[in-house]
Amino acid sequence: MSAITDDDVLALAPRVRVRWDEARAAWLALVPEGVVVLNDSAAEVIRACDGARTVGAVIELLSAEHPEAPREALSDDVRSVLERMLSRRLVTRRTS
Amino acid sequence: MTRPPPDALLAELTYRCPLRCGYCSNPTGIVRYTPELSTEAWARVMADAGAMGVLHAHLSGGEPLLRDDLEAIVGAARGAGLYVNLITSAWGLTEARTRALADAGVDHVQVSVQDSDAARADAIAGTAAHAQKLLAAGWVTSAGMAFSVNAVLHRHNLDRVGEIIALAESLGAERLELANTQFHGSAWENRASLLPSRAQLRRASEVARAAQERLRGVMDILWVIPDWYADLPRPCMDGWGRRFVTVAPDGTALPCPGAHGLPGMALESVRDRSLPELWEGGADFERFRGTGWMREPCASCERREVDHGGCRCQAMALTGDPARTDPACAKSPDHDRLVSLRRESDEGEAPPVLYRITRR
Repeated sequence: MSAITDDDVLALAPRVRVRWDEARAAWLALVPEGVVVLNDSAAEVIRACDGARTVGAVIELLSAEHPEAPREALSDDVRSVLERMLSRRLVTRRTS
Repeated sequence: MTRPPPDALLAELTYRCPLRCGYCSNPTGIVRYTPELSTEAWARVMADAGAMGVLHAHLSGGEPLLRDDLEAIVGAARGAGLYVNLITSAWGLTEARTRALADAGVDHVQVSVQDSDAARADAIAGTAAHAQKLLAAGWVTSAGMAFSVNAVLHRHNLDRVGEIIALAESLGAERLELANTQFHGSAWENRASLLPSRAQLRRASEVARAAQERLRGVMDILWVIPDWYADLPRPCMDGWGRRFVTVAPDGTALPCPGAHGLPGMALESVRDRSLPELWEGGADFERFRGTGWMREPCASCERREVDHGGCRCQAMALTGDPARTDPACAKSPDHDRLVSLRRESDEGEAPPVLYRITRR
């Protein structure tokens, strides 16, 4: 798998549905065979991947929402979350 | 609610089915499970399930496509926030109905295949069903739903597991369940015909493991050694009344789809009490919940919260007592019964498979 670049566009994989679950008080990614409980940062990242925003734009958006976070660290975090989600096929990638 | 909710609801919408597979796990006296729940009753089950925190609805049967209100039931499940899996043979499916089901909210369709070769597959199903599945695969994916394949494996198709994997791959499945037959319902009656030999299982296991490696990231392959050869019991339903709830076609709420065959069950229905009430305090759900019901060797076993004592239905079938340790476990005092059945299959000729038994 090649590294994620700022120009990549990521979208939720067709089999995945993301929703808030009241009973478990967590964001969940539901897949056919089960469920992935998302931590706060994974939930923010996956919800920002709308199939239109580039990875660069996702970083911009989250950076604006978390002005306290150092830009470099935040962008590393976003990329590592996305790489994990790509390898678990929660998101799909289109290179623009 | 004090008790954690189940993760998934198995909704057995009907036990009617045009296929007659000899390994069917449905109960053999299916006529007892009528009348079937109405559309409205299923809609209430789905709403209750969503409200109590269930995440997945597995719509199954029998053949769920035989319910002509399937779209309405799907809509109710999706409306309740559930992730909707449709588990089907694809018999009678059309392109238009596939689109209607996608519009109603089906997230994922799992189609069964009996073999990779049409003539062999149709012989197992007892009806011409295979060609339809190949068409259905294309319709499901172009309607934007996730698609997976399930193949039940046994003595008569286990040597063809490589071809079955290739078929699932060519159909564009994102997941393949290679499900070794479990001996419930008709499969129990046919166990001597269906149980594979150890050598067959070893060969198939090598093929499956190699394919898992080769297809990593493309198609997930689920492969589990059947418990009859594992010497460890299957953690049936991941524990009784712990993660799953089944509603049978007539509305009976059960901790597992085989549980109506056990003696002494209350068999309470969602017609009389709501799903959350039954889950919380129904006698059938409490019966084998946790570890309090266990006897030795389970009670002091370090794996008691891993295996959960194995399968209650298998304990019943092999020992006549559902509270005994599952004889699939090598520690079970009844393990020799399973071993002698296994030895017959390993060394002997298998009798022919009889088609699905619907009356008894």
